[in-house]
Amino acid sequence: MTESAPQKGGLYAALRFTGIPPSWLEKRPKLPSRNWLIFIGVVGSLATLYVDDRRKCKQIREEYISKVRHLAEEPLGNAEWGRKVTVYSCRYPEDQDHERTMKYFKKYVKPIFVAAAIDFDIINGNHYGALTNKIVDDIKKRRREMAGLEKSHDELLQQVQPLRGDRAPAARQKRELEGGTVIIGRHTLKEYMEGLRRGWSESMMPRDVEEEFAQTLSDEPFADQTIQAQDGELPSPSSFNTSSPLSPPSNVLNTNQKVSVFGQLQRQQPSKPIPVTALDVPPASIPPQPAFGLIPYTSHLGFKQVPYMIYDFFTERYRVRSGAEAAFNVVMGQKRPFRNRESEGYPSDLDFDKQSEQYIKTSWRKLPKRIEDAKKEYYKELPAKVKVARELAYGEREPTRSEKANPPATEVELRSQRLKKELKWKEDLEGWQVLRDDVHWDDRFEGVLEVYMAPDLQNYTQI
Amino acid sequence: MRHELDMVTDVFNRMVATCASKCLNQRYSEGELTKGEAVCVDRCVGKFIEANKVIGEKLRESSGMNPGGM
Repeated sequence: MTESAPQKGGLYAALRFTGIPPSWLEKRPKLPSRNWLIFIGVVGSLATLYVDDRRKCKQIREEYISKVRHLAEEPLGNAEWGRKVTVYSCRYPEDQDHERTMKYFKKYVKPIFVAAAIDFDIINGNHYGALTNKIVDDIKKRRREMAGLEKSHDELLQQVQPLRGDRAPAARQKRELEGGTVIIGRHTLKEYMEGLRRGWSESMMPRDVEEEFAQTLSDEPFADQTIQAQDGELPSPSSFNTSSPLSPPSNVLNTNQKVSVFGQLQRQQPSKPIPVTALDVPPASIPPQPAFGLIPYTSHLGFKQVPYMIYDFFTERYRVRSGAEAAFNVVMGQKRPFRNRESEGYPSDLDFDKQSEQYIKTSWRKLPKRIEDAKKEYYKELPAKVKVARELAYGEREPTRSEKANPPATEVELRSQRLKKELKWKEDLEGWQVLRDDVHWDDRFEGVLEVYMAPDLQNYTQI
Repeated sequence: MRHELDMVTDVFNRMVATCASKCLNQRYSEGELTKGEAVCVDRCVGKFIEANKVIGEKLRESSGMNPGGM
C-alpha cells in the first residue's frame, strides 16, 4: 500500500469494485491480543520442537540405513545362513515393565539390523538375575559338551544325517563367534559379566537349585501348633517334602502357648554333595567370546524424573543417533580389545554408561528391606491360613458359606506357594546384589573379550 | 493318510506363495536370494507356522468344548 491515506491505496483501488466490503480493504494489520500471542507462542514453539525433532530422527535413521543397505543386496547361497547376533536385555532396576529394555532395542537398534539383513535373537531377563542364571546354565551346558559328558543337539543331528554348509556344527560355532553379542544398558552388562564369570568358575554339573533351596527351608510355619516349641534349632530339612497333609496330629500335648512361626532361611549346605570329577575343574582360560556391541540405555522412572521424561520427549534424536551408531558399529564389525582399565585417555569399558546409574530410583537401595517386610507380613498371616486348611481337611468343622464359594487354599497349595515366594525373594536379592555392584571382572577375561568400535571409514569402500 | 498329505501340501503352497509375495523383490538380476530376502523369508515362515499353531490350538479348544457342534 502507498503512504497516502488508505482510501487512495493501490489495493483499495484494485479491489474497489470487486464486491469485497470496503471496511476490509481499510483494515491495518494488527497483532492479536497479548493473551493470544502467549498462546500461539507457547503452542507454536512446542509443536515446532516436536515436529523438528521427529523430522531429524527420520533423517538420522535414513542416513544410517542408507549406509548399510548395500549389505542386504548381497547374495546368499543355498547352504549358507546370514550373520546372526544375540541380543541380551534384562529388567531395569525398579522397573515394573520387564520388557522396556527390549522395546528400546526394537525401536532404536533393530531398524539398522533389519536394513543390513542381520538376523537377531533376543534374550530377555524377566526379573533381576534371570539373565545371569540363563547365561550360567548355557555356559555350563557348553562346558559339559566340550568335556564330552553330553552330546550337543548338532552332534545328534549329525549322526542322523550329515549336516552340510552352515548347518554343520563347526560352521555353526564359527557363525556364533562372528555374530556378536549386543548388550543393552549397563544393567545388562553387569548381569552378563556376572553370568560369564560364574559360568566359567563353578562346577559344570547340573544342579537342581530349587530342590536344594527347598531343603534349606524350615518346616516351622507348617508345624502343628499344639506341639510345644523346640528351643533354638529348627526341624530336619527333609521334613518339608515328606510330611503328608492328611496325617492326623501326631502329638496330643495341648498347651495354650502359641509357637513362634517365623520361617527362617537356614544357611546350611545343600544335603547332596556335588560329585567333583577330574574334568570339573574350572578352566584356566576361557575360549574366545563373540564381540560385544554395547548400547547405552537410561530409563527415567518415577514422578521425580518427569522433567527428564519431558526433555526426552523432545529430544528423541539423541537416542536415535546413539542407538543407530551403536548398531552401525556392530554391523560393520570392526573390533577392538575390551578395556578393563582406563588407558590413553579412553575410559574403561567396565565403566560403560556409568552415568545411567545416577538416574535409578532411590528406592532401589531399600529393596532388601522391602523383601524383609514382605516376608514378615507373609509369615504373620500364614499360620491362620494353615489352621483353616487343616481344620477343613481333617473335617473338624464344616466350611462356611463364603468358604464354599471361594475354597481357601489347601495345605499343599500353601506349601507350594510358600516355596515359590521364598524362591522369588532369594532370586530378587541375588539379582539386586549383582546390580548394585560394579561390573564384575575375572582375570581370565583378559584378551578374550572384544568390543565393536566405530569403523575406520577411510579404508572402507562401498561397493 | 492321503488327506494329511493334501493338507500339508496345501499349507506349504500357501506359505511359499505368501512369503514370496511379501519378501521377494519384483525385479532382480540373479537367481540367488539376497541376504535381506533370505532373512525375510526366514521370519515369514516362522510367523506363518506360529500363526498356524495358534489358530489350530484355538480351533481344537473350541471344538473340544462343543464336540460335534460348530
